[in-house]
Amino acid sequence: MANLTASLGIGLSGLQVAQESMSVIGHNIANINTPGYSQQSAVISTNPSQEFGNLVFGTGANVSTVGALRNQFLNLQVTQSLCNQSGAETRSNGIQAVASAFKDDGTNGLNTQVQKFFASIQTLAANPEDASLRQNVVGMAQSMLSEFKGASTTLTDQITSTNQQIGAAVPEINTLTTQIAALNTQISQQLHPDAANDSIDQRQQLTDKLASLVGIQVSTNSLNQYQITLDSGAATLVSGNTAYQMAVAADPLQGNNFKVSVISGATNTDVTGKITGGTLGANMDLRDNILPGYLASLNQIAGSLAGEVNKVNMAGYSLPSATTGLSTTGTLLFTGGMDPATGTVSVDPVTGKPVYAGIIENLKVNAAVVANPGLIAASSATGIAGDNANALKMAALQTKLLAVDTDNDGAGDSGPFSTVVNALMNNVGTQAQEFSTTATNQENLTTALQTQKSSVSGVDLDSSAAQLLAFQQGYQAAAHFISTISQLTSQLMQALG
Amino acid sequence: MTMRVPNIMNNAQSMLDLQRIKQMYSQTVQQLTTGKQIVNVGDDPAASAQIQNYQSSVDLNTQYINQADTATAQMQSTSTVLTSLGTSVDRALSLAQIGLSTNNGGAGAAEVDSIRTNLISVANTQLQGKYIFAGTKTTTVPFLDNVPATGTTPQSVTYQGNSGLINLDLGVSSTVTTNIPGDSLFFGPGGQGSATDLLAQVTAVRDALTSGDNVALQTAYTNLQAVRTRIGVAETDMGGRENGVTALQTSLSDFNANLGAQQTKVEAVDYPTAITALNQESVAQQASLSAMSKTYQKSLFDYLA
Repeated sequence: MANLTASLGIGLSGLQVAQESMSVIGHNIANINTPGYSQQSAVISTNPSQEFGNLVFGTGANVSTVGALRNQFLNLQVTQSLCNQSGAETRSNGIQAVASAFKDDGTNGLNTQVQKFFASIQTLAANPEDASLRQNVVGMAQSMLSEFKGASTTLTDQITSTNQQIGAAVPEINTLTTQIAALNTQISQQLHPDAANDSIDQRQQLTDKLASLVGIQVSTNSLNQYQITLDSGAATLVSGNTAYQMAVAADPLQGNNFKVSVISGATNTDVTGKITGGTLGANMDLRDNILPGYLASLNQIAGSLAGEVNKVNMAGYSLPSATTGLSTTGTLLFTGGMDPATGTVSVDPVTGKPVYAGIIENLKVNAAVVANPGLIAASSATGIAGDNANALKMAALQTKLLAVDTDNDGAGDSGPFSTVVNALMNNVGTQAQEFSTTATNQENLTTALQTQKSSVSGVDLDSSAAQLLAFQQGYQAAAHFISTISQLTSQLMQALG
Repeated sequence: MTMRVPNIMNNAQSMLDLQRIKQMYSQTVQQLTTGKQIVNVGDDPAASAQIQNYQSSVDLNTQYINQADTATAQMQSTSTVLTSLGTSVDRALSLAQIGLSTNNGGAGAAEVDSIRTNLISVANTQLQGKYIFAGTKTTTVPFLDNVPATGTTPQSVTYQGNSGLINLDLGVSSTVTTNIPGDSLFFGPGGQGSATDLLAQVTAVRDALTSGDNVALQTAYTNLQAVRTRIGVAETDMGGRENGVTALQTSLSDFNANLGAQQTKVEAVDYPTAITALNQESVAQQASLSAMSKTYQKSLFDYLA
């Protein structure tokens, strides 16, 4: 039969349930701004009842578990989305950083400088005897080269800085994977699945951070541990309790760019170029594909242009000497990486193909021509100052088809120079737009997923306040109940005493 | 169903939206201050490419227009010289005619000799330091008067130029010849010393007037008349070329104006649209700020005593 002492126990359990629940609410409120925190709730259940004959009496309530509200599927989707978002953002930023080199406002820019160079030759054609117009051609050739050099430097600087970012990302990734593996251990050692709520949130938060840095795939094993592999599947970063460290080393075969590998015992897996997502994957793509692609195009344009101009200049004759009246045959107008015999870009003796790589850094206006602009071969006949036939040929290169060797076989295969320069600029613009659109879309997706996630897991102050109020009242009522029972007990004591 | 809207979620979403509005706002401000629709390379690659193509065409045409200016200047000075050449020959012709009709041309001989000297100096005209009748050997004096050592009157000249033509490009496939080589203009189709040689015929008139040889004077007079006609033709030809160049220049300028208008259409910002957008974005920014301040103000805790 239910006695007064047992009733005290029921009242006490009410107090405890209210107190514990309020403590959970307090924990929730305290963590309202903790990133990645999943709201927890006390799961209250009824105590086992006691039977007295055919009567059944309840014995109060208890908090059976403190559970966290989370949707593991949503969590992994957010991780994946963050991966894609940071990949697209990094690519977009990397391209935007070099885009200024490809801007042309009609007064400055690659196309304008190329056009000005040819215009100076055409002006010279109208008065080939004029020394100041020859000087002008030299000046325009130099400013055209410095425009090319400027663009090339911007690209190589960006490649270098991207490489440094790759090197800097690795220690951070290693720290994160080590922490995740440690949390994996903690989580798997908990006997009760709900005991590791805060560790699980923390692990999710670190995994999201890791996903922004490097493209990953996440799965869970039977011990509720995260298994993390690179997005290409090339290597495992975290498996159960173990984190596999990444290592960077300068690769002499790739211009001392960093080679990234994952160390697993004695095996060292090279993962360079095998990561697509995250800033690391994006920076590898920028460093190894996107930016070098622009640079290669730029070198092809500059090398082909110098070669074409050289060929025409070599076929003509210089301004006759004022003293002897004799001309010399044309020389190279552009030197540095150019073959003196053919005038075109030097050919690799092994492959037999022209070496465009780095040509812009070497190109300069022939020092002999700078010293004596009379060497610009405007004339097609020796000893004739007023002949402009060769200058016209040189100026006509501006609209020449098949001007640029875009496939590295030594022969031109494109439209005119301006078209190729425009195509390169357009390519940069299109990729900048593409990645910035992708980044915005991914950002939208991430936000939508995070909204869903926080709709499940986020702390809401209004409902916390309402719950707090309910438990406060519950606590007061239980306390009142205890006080009533206590009064009854003392009355009984007095009556008996 | 009702969706739970936890506080943290409100924050994240409204911050993102506010950032977006601010970004759009700054983009519009940039458009307005630069006057250009496209601020960054990636804004509209297709339009950027279009602008570049228009710009390339305009630049190329401007180049040709400048060439046409130079060509016109060179041809105009040739035309002026041809006119003064015609006047001199006319005077020589009338002096010869006087000689023929009066049978006493001795008086005219001296003047014809000075006309001859004058013709040679005209033939050696320079424009911007180059001899315009030297073919392409523009730095060489084209006509050298062979003054005999004995002090008698000079009889012949030496042509030191060549027959080279100077062409200028006024388009991808259009060229104009801006010069008349001295040998073809002064010596004519018959070549030096022939009946078509201007200088030889003027010399012949002078000598016939000096010697009073009417038969020779008549022959020289007839020849010189034919030469005069040739100079007239050359003058007309030069004028024709000049007109052609001017017409080409006008059409290139018109074409450029059209291209420029097209380019502006793509490139320039539409001010009314941009200003309206700026206002809208400004209102949106204020609205979201005020909404955010309202949202963050209150929760149920504020109403529990």
